[in-house]
Amino acid sequence: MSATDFSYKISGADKFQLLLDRHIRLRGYIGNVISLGIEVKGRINADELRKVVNENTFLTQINSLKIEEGFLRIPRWKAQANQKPVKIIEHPSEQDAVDIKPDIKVNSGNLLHLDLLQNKSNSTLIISAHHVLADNMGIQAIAKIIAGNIQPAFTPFTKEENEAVSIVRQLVYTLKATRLVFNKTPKKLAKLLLGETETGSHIIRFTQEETKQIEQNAVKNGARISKSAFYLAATSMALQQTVFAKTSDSFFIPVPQNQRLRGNEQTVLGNHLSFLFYTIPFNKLTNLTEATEFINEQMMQQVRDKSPKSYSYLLKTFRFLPLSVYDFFFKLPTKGAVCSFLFSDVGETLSGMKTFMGKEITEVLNYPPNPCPPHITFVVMKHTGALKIITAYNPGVISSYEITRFEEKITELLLP
Amino acid sequence: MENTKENISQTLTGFVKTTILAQGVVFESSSNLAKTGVDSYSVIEIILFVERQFGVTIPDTHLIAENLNSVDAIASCVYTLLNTK
Repeated sequence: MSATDFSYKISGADKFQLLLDRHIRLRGYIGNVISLGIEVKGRINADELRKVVNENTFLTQINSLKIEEGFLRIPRWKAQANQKPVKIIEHPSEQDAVDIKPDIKVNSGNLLHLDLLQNKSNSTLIISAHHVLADNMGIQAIAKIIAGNIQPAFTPFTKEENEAVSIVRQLVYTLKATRLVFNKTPKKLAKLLLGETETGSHIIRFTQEETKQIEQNAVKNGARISKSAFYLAATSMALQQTVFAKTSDSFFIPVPQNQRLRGNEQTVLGNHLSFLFYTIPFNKLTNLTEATEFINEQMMQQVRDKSPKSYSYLLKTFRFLPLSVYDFFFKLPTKGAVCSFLFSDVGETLSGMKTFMGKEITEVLNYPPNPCPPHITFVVMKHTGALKIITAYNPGVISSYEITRFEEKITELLLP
Repeated sequence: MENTKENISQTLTGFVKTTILAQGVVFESSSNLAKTGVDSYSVIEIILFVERQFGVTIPDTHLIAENLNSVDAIASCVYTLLNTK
């Protein structure tokens, strides 16, 4: 494929990310950016990094993509004749990686951004991308491409995106998902839209040994197949007892579901996501085992009902609607916050990758995208068997004191 | 087709290859599921396929790592359950 004949429809999930980007920008926040941090022992040579990245035509090509409207006004990625090099900013002084928050505009022609933090004896590379360009697996693929571990592949869509189905069938799936998503009255943080546009971040780190104990605890509490149910139960309980302590209702939580065919590590472009949706009444949050089993049951039922597939069709239908249609939704009293909080279990990140550009990897972190709305987002991840919980929050709505109390509570629940 | 351990394993391998894994991923019934990239969500899909295909529900007590490591392990578990019905 040449550099300029590249043109793909964006997926329904990409359109959703585009919508989020538009609305968080309207509120004065930076855009919808996803980041992955890789810390290594020893210093990465910035010039060598620039050479590796910008001599890779795939990376410069996706960096320069722009969205154009095609047939039926469906947005498409379109390659640009003049490809821009990826911006790589070297930060020579000691700086905390969580303070790096690049703003990436969707049609700027720079969809990727790299920050290299140089400390005395180590470097941290933060790879950021506009969320329309890549999801969590996509940004991991970019890291692997830079490391020379994989070759990129152009397989842009989920099965649902490619599958030809009748309009009636698509409508049935869409209605089913619409009912699932919008027939809820979630408890949200009350103080919406205070004009605070900063993002706070906290990280809880567990050792490999602690992680083993947590996983054993997950099984004891009923998370026999998926530990996610246990992590979500603990997160919900800890939140209900701290940040949401003054309210009593239920949580409604969408949890992203990777829709890639497994074993495919090479696909960068696009969001290959659907969602599972959990409703958790507060009266189910008094006991960790009960909460875990309650979530487990919902998970099994939704997989049985093919709910993620239905939601993929809803998103696919969204692709045909102009962004302005969504403005109505965001002018509702809920301000578009249809969920209580965001939660994502991304599992083992950069699995099996021990070195990066010849240096030993000492830490890997997924940084959640902008948490507005609903003002608080959690990412649960592992690297080399060590669990981390990363929280991004809006400090104008949630105080760092509340977050500290939440962290104490969830640690107590996971590791009693 | 008789539900022998080998036949169950073959059916499950076909399901995993066509529904869960990307083309070109090397996969055999003895392959470790996690190492092949089959995550817990996909394991749920396999368990639900077992329910539909063989009419057997894997009880919670059998949902342990050693029964879910590979297609062969799941097939062995399903075979035992079918023969103790």
